[in-house]
Amino acid sequence: MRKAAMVLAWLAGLCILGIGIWLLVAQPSIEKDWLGVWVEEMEIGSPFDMGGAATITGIVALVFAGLTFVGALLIPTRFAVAGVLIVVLDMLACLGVAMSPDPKLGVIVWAIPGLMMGFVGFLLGMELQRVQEPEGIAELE
Amino acid sequence: MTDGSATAVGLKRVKMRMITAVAVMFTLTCSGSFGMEDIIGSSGPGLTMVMLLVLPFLWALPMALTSAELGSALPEEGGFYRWVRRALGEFWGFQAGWWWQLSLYVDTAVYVALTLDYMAGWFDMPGWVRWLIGFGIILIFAYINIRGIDITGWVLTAIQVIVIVPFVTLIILGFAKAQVSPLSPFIAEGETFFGAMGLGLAVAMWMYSGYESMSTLAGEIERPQHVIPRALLINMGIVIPFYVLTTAAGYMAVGEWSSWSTEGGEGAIDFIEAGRAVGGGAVAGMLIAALVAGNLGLFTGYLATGSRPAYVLSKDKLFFRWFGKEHPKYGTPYRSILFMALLNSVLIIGSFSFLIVIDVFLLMFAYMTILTAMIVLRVKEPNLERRFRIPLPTWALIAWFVPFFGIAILALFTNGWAYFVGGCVGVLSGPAAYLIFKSRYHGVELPDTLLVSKDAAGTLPLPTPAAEEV
Repeated sequence: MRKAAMVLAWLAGLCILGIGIWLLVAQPSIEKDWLGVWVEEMEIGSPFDMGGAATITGIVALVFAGLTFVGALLIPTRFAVAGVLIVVLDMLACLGVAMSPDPKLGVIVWAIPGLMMGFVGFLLGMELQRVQEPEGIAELE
Repeated sequence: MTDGSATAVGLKRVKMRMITAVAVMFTLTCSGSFGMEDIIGSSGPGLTMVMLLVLPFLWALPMALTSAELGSALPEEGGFYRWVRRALGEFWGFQAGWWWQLSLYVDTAVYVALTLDYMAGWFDMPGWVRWLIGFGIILIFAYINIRGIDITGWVLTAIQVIVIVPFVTLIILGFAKAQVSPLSPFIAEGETFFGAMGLGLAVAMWMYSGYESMSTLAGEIERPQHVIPRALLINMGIVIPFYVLTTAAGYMAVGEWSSWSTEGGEGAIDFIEAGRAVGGGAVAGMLIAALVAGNLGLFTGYLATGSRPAYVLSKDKLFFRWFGKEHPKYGTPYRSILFMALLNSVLIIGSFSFLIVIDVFLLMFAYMTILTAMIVLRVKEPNLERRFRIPLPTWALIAWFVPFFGIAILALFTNGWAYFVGGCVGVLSGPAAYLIFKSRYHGVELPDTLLVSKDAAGTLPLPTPAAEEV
């Protein structure tokens, strides 16, 4: 399971790297109406515009990619830490997608790396169950 | 033989009468028909009736019967967490417990908030007074919970009398003064069949949920493998006609399907207005009392059941140790109850509706793991003693569960993309939490015996002489 998780983590990192490069190069028009859909659906917060959003999110994506690669490198030796890192990155990215001007498009863009990172978390959790020695027996009477 | 005294596990086991168990189950799965108004207004009355009659067989009954079978086989404190753990291992057991627990932490606060919102409609009160009243309500019912589930059960029984009597009155008067057919119009005008169904389906699913909840209390009830499955099945026989008859009677008396809504406002019709139409201020007043009591009942009931997974996870060394302590006198997981109560008192301060985003997701994933565990245990442990066994072969169960899974997956997409992604965040917290807590506390090994409190004589609950077909 660790090997599978590692492969998925590397692939996810590459996807995120691709997303980051695309954002920086293609500069999609995503400045306006951040939190717009969030406010409409959840009735909390205020929409705002973010100048240079494509550049900012592109840089964030590159950072995320780097951290995902770090997580992938950690899997052989500290896989629990790696798993938490990768899943937390996924959660943060999901929050970013939810706040974006077009969450539907964000889901489409993030679907593959997001799913891979999620699977990494589940695989490493099952791996930890397998290798971690329990501490004693439950007190039953 | 059983004096309800605390055992070495620390939890006090109490005798619970069937009527109390049914009242607790009715609280967890119904507690009044409030909410149905939104289905009428969005789907149309005819389709509402069809959904209320059909959906239980696709949605409620699978979970209820699963809980009955597994509850009779593995009547352990923590309930469904234990079933999933036994079937699928510690990791997936943790996921089921974690997701369900998380959703309940938010859910229970909603019931207090609804009560406060209603009171705010009668009295002008500043925010701090509203919060103080809410805090007081939370403290009172937390204290009742800490005192014990026997006392909690009695309180819930009394609450449900306050809930049921007004609705029975509405049923009688509503049918007597019926003006329109409950099937007309069949679907909301201007909507397609599937469009109309989709609008009301999420609410209908919600109304028919909760059948797994009482399982978490199994370790604190004497003969849980007898009491809980029977209470489940009796309750199903009550809830379905209750929902159908109250909704039909209320609508038939008033009509104006498009005005039905829980939102209130000018011209909006809800059960209280329907009660006013058929019985004047007296019936309306009774239904208002039912609304308030129903929400308080839901809060109390889910504070009881919803606090147990954190306690059991802590006992299994998969959560903070602080949660795993029993009250020295009352034998209840008081710290877990207190934490949930205090969290709720924070959540009622502002608008936390964005947190409800994760509710549906977490519950749907928890439900799917529970039903998966059911099938896996049928295959892995066919000879596990099941005092109640669903009279269907496993292949038929799988076929029957397919629509349930379909509905659960559909529910993930019914609220919009921001909700969808927010829900994913909630689900992902499960594996992250497991990695953290398992690394920190390591978990425990569970022997293949029941984690059930013994009676004062030191014996496990006796099995019933023969398998019971309820």
